[in-house]
Amino acid sequence: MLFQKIIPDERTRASAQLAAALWLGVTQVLLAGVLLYRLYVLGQPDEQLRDFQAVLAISIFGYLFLVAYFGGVLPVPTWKGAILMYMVLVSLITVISVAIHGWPAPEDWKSTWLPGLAGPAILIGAYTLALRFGYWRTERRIRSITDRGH
Amino acid sequence: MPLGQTANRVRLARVAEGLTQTELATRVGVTRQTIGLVEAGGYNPTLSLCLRIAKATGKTLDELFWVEGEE
Repeated sequence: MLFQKIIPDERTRASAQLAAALWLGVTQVLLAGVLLYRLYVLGQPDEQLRDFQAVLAISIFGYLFLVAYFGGVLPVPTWKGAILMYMVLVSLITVISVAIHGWPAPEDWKSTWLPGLAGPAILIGAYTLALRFGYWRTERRIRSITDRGH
Repeated sequence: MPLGQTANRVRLARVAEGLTQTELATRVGVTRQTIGLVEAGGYNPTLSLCLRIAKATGKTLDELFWVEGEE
């Protein structure tokens, strides 16, 4: 026999989860680095990097949403909290975008104001839903186990 | 109140039973390294593993595991 049989146990599984989370972070940072390099060093147009940007966004936000969902304990933001988060995000995006690209022309609203205003709303809405569904899932599990008499 | 560090007497209990780390690991279904780390205080086992270790060494949970300062 070339290799001994390895029995995965709770510690090795926890180590694998830690390794996966760490390496996901490294991969995201590397991908962001590649994007910045292509944009600002190689001078490639933004339109040619849409696929990279989409993969990075799905990876980052998908991770955050899954953590919120499986955790099931994070505080679900109130309407006021969600609106405040929205205002902060929109302000940040506006300030940074205007600082880099200047004030957008009114006819460019589809590629400037629309994503700047709708993007944060979609993100915060999806995040709130992930938190709410995760919370319901956890509470349902507790009830289901309690109802079985454990 | 902050939680204290957990401590254990797994090594003593294992030696008292005349078991090696590998034998105990096989009995409870984990790797030898996991038992080594539990004994050294480098890994906090789940309740399930604590119970299996307690059963394999003929001890109770209280005899094997405790929180530092609450002994």
